[in-house]
Amino acid sequence: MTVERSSSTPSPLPPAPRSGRSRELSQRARAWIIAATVLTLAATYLVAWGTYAYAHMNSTVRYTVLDPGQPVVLPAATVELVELTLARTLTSTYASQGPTSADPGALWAVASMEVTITPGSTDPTCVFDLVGPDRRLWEPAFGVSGRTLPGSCSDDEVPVGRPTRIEVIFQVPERDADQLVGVAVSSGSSWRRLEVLRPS
Amino acid sequence: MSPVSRTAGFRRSVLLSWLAALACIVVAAVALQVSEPPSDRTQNVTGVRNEPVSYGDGSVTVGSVRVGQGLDHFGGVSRTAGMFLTVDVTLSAEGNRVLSLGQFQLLSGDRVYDDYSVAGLRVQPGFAERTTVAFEVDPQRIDDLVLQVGRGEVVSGYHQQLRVHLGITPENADAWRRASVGQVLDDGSNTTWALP
Repeated sequence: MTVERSSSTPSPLPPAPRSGRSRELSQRARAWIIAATVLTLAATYLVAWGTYAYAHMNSTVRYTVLDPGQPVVLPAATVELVELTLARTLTSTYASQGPTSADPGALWAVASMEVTITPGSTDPTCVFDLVGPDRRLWEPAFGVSGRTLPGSCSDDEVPVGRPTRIEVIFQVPERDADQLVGVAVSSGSSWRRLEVLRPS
Repeated sequence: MSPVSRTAGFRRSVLLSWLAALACIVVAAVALQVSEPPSDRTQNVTGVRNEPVSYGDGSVTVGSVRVGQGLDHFGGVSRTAGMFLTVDVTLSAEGNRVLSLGQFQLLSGDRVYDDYSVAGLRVQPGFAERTTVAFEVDPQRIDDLVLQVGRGEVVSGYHQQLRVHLGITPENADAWRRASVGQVLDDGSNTTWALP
């Protein structure tokens, strides 16, 4: 069976097409949105990279020196610098090892700190740096063994919730030894200024 | 919409895309420039043996070169059918930041020798440290050997490499080969001292 369409009855009108102007505006808006997105991404990259460069490569903004004895409160621990002492040699509990001498022209700087691990911290991380004149920065020395006190916040001998004495050892040139500022402490991943502990 | 206006819209989109791409390049270039320490603008620096070469806030000095057929390291002696070559490298951190060297290579034309014993230096401010870097090389390809050192980081906003000619030339290469016969080299341990 064939059905013949009547040419006399008008067919229902299709939905009115959107005007050419509105479609043109839509395309333009889309182009602007794409451009704005790309520019926003580029600006985000610039801000992030610039902030990182400013924070880490401009020595004038990186540290806040605390009052003597004032502790630093990290998410994982509270840290207070009790004493910062200098020594030419360090003793060891290993009788066969004898005292460990600093390198020629250098001294050991021993930072004794009281650490209280925050309850709930499973892997407390404390990063220590010694700050000297003109914001000169030293990392902890390695190779000094046989000490009696723990050397880090994450040491097994540092209990949670109870103040515990630890010591972090640095090596500094003798000519800088009388100009030490303090010990900078961070959790290693913070964008905040580093806070510098001073001995009480 | 007429074909003409559609074409015009397409051209505008292309133009905007190109402008956005150009903006990205400009922004990336500015960011890289912002992050670059002022003293480290040079990518490749050529130095001379036994003279300090500026590196970051400090300097690198390439010192003695020795050749042999054995290498004493890790408590044992390794032998080679070729030649061992050791170079003394001193890194001095004269500024306020830690300096490090993590890449040591010997260049012989288009041939690149990596270090035989993994070497690395990380020096605290105000200190200098000397290490001995060992390479195993082809004795027939030692003319004009150049030591290349750098930080060797995978991700870095900039990269500075130092190149120092070791003083082995086509004229004296035979003498170096003869000098290596029967010699056992010591890659030694690092020595650190405070700068005066």
